[in-house]
Amino acid sequence: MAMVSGRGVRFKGKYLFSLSAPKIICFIFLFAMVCFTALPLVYVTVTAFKPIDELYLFPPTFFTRRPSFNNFKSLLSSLSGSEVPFLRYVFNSLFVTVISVTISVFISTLGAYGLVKQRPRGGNVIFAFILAALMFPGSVTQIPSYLVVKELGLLNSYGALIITKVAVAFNFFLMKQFMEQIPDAYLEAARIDAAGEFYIYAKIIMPMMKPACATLIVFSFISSWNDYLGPLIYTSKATLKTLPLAVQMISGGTGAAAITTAGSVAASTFVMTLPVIIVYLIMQSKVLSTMAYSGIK
Amino acid sequence: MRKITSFEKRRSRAGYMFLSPWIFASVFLLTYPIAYSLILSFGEMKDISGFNLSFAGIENYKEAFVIDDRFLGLLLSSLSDMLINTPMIIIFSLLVAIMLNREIKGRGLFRLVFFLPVLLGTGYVMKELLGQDVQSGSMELARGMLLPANVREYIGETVTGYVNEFFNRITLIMWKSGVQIVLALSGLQGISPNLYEASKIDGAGEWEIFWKITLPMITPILLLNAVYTIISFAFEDSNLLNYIIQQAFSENKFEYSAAIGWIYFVTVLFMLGIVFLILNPFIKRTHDNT
Repeated sequence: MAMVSGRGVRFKGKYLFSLSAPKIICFIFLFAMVCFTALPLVYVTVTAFKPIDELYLFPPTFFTRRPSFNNFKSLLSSLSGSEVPFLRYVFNSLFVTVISVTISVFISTLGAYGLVKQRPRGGNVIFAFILAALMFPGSVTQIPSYLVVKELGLLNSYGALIITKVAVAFNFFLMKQFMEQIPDAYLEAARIDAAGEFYIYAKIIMPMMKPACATLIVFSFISSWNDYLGPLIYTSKATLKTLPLAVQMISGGTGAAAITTAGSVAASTFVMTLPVIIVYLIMQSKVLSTMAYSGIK
Repeated sequence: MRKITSFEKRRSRAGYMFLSPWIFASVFLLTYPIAYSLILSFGEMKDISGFNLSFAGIENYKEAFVIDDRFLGLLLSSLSDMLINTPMIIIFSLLVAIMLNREIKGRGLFRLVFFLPVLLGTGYVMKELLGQDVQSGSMELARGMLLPANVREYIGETVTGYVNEFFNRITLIMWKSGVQIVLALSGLQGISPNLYEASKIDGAGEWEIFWKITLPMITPILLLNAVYTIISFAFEDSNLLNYIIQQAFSENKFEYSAAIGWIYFVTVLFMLGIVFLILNPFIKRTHDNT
């Protein structure tokens, strides 16, 4: 028999959870805040599943009465004003993101290992430069980057979208912070056992860096997946565009046109947010614990 | 002695071998673009198709301050946004972190939801979610729930305006403090429980504990939060950044865009310096406390 008393809910002589005034206030406050944060997301999700007649309702309802997949179907079958199927955009986004994240994680960990554990001369200069680059707004360097991509002959190719996301100062910085927490004693023990430097990196450092890599994967996945300016500048072919551009194209209209597309906009936004959340959920426990560990994003 | 130097030399060489892929990539895509944008900002484009550049001194910088009537306004408004939002985000994130740090039901879920904006918060989805359609819809609902229409009519236009402004700002702050909450939480968990125990034995209340222990101990994280917030503001889609991009790509004024980009960069650095100077004296350096 559950008993509710002043101190909490008692069940079989044990308190299930205690009720005290500060705790209840805390809970209510947090809950209200959560509602605020989650509201737009819930709204998008609900709109994505609304059938078209409910989109026209006035006043608009928050929840849908008859959920349907029509918005997704129309997304798949036709896209007004575009000759490229929607799935192509999804593929482009996935392809570019997966490859650039892989390369970026590889060269960042490799470089951080070299910088932190081998202590090369002039390493300080390199690190100071990375710190400066960290604070430099990326959009300012778009034009020189464009020139570089053009000189390399990579305009209008997947290559352009990938290489521009490979050298990210933030990724290197993150990896360096994590690398510093690995004790040198491991390396010394391995060296005494005559392990080569690359062997140490691959077999000793990388397994220990797994949580850090999870963090890096989440962050670089987010930034690469959501990148809007890159594909806009480096590609002009519709077949190479990525999801953010597709979402923007779908949401192109305003006013009356906005209502008719609201369903597909919400559906495409939903499709776009889903992979990020999935990647995060896979890496979740690791991300939060490493961030707490290192005290850095 | 000689042996150590040769060993260090070898280590140094190995280090550069490991760094080489990164250096190779960053020279092309980080160093060169930054350096080039600096050169660009001091130059004048003679011929756009051939990228024919001639030295123009500080012409572009002069234009930004003297001729361009939009740039200064945008710079000031983004600075004032930074000034208003940064303290609010820091205080808010500390508040939420303190609450999340308590033993509370559904803590994991709360943490996920507060972190959600970080996942979606960069780029176009953010714009889409907080943009016209969705925000006005959901905000309307939120307002309707909290402030029914007849009440709104009764209290009049100005107050309604303030209330709306208030809610808009709250949503904005909520959406931008995900990382800061996590950082503050990690800072709180780093404070030794011994301190709390000792102060409780000495008869300190919750309020005193907050001011005498929690706040002083968490100052390093607060500085980190301030720096992070300012940098993320510098990167976020702002009117100023859009203006910089627009100058380059729609107006084809590459050199001018580079110049105002550099002005912005230097301003942000300057702001960071000020924040650092203000907060630095308050920071407790604890070496042996875990």
